Amino acid sequence: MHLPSPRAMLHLLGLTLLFGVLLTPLAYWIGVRLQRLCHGSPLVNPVLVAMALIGTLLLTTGIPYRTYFSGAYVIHFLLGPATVALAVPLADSLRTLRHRLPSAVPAIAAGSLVSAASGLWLVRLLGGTRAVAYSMAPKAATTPIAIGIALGVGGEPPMTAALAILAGILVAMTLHHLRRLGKSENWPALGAAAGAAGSGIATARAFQLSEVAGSFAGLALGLNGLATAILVPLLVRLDKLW
Amino acid sequence: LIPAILLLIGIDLLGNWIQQRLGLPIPGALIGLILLTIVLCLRPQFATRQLRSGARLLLLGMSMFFVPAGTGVITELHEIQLQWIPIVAALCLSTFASLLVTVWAMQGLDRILASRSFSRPTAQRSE
Repeated sequence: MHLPSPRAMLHLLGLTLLFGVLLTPLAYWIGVRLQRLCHGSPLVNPVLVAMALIGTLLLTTGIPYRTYFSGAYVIHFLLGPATVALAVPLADSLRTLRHRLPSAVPAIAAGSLVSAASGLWLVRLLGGTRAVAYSMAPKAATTPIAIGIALGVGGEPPMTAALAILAGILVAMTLHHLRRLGKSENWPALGAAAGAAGSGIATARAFQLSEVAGSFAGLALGLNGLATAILVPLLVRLDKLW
Repeated sequence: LIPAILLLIGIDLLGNWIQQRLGLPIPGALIGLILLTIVLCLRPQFATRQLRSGARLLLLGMSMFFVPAGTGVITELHEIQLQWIPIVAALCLSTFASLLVTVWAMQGLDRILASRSFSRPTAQRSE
């Protein structure tokens, strides 16, 4: 059999890397344009559109996911520093919302616990496998944190990423219908709930509805990530004892 | 801008290093997030305009950074097909349960705290 020359192989490798690096922003950009065309509907989420486009392309052409990911890793790598960057708005909201922390922090922690525990046990109760249950448990945390948690407890990070995005879309779509839960519109509580249950996508939506809701959502996003990272490994250990 | 982004990458790597050394179940990036939050709460002047614009840039692109990992679901389509009922049901129910609990807990706590500070006027905030 005729093997390609080393130079040709290097050329092929470069093309592969370039394919992953360029395909991701291109698909995401199409998603952003599409959402704008649909008047900012949360259902047409750019991340979801990009995943669907790239997924369809890979499945129809037969290009292995691993080939795409080896190039797209450059983009994936930036999730870590972006997560660290969340510290800047988090520190700001901890300072400005200081007088609301006594009610917000326990409420967000309760929301994290309900989300992680009910997610894990509902999957188990309805006959899902452990791997799926452990992928479900961290879904309310912001995606990069959720992926990290899933990896640590034996879940499947890609499924967690998809679930986290879907949970965010679910919250973003229903948030303005929940306004009348209390006697009056309670933007701080709604914002905190949005951040705790739907992380990034829901936080963006909360900012669209009200500035106050948005800043509470940002606070909840950070605190919920922390709470989920502590709670999910404990819940998983409990589940394994069963 | 570039030093700020390099700093954030450095903190991320530091978090990962700590996570591996101590064998923590918490993701390394989250450890970095906690460390930087503590520093910024203690020393607010550390959040320079440079750091802020670097952070804003990364946060702006954050949704796009999910795409490579998220696209990995195509390797799990078979599993999702087999278990779609528990997946969809758990996703919807637990998300709404978490929303309602957070809203109600915060409203309830606000009411309790308000009534307590009302009955003891001396305990009111003096900021």
